[in-house]
Amino acid sequence: MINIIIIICCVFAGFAVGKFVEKRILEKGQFYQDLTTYMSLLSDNVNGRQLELAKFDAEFAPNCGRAFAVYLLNKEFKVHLSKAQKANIARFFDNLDCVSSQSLVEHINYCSKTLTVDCQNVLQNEVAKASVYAKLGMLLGAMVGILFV
Amino acid sequence: MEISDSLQKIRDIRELRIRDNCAVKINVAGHWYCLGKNGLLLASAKSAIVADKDCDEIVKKVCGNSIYAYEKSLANGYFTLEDGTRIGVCGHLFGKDKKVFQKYTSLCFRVPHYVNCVTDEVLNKCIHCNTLVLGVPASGKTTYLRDIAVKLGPNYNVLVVDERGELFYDENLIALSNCDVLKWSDKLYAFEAGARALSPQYIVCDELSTDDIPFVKSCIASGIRLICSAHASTEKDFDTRFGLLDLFGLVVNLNSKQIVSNMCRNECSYAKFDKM
Repeated sequence: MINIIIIICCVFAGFAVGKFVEKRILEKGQFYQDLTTYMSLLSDNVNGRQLELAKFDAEFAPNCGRAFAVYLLNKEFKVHLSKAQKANIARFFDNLDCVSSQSLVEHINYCSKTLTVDCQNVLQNEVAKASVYAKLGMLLGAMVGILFV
Repeated sequence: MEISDSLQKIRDIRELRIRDNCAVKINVAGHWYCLGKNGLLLASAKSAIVADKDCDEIVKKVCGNSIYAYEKSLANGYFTLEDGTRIGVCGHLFGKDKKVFQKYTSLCFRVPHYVNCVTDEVLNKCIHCNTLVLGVPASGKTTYLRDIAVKLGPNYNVLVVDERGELFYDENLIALSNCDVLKWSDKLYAFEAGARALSPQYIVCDELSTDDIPFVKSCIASGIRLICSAHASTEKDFDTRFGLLDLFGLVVNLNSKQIVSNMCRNECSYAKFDKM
């Protein structure tokens, strides 16, 4: 009886860990989707309403995922990204103080090519396979439970 | 940083001039000084704060790193902040039309302020005719127009054409004046759409240019009283440039501090005033 309980607990623990990993990957996917939306809306803003960046960010932050909102307002990464991915994102945000709207739109278009590729890689290679981690966690949990028994 | 720390302690700033590699000049209550670390200095002081290629950084900071948001007005050589402070810019232009600044080398901050400067005598004359306020730059034309609008607003329908956001810089002032304020609007829109939609008895606008001549004529022909200002030293200079002097029954010359009242063509009287 106790052995069965140990195995069930290990399966649940494995499932919880797998779900946590899945959640982190989905957050990363949401971050990149918010980033591409931000770039598109910023380009529209520069060509249209021309709100200052601070006001634009303040309007955008409540309507996006938490991880991107935190980065937008505090420049802190709450998702796990590689060095190259962080560098690409930083390069985009650090050069938004262009001398004209035309050069800013060119900068957005230039950076969006790289960041869109990063986004597609994350979505296809990581997010699409995120649901596997919960099942993998259950399997590993069961194996650990059997080992304990 | 050094400039902003020193400015914290000073009141009644009218104008601030920052030029790269030059002493920072400041106009306080109509008098010019140099800006020192601990306050104001005489114009020739050696210990004045020198702006060390600060203009670029100041513009970026003041624009919130969003120069694109002020691009249209920067193409005209200035931009206006939310509090009505107008910042004239000078520097290196580039681009096809030479309307984009690559680098800023001098800045002129003009701080708006309300002064009760229009006398009852002038105000009573303004009510009955088109009024022209003449003056050289920094003579107080905008301040004078602002006071006229504030004093006429409670009793008449006054449309204020605030092209650059300087005339009515404060929401409280707009509420106090009871005027209709078209902010950031050009005179074409104001004189056509604004006049049609808001049925003004008076239109107040700042700094006429020669492009505005057709609008002025159509406004006056439609029976709306016009109260406006123009850059000119004398009435003759204004008439030479615009050819509209006959349309104005009252001319206030802030350079010579004279009021010319021309209510009837054959009647002309001069009065002196010292308020400004």
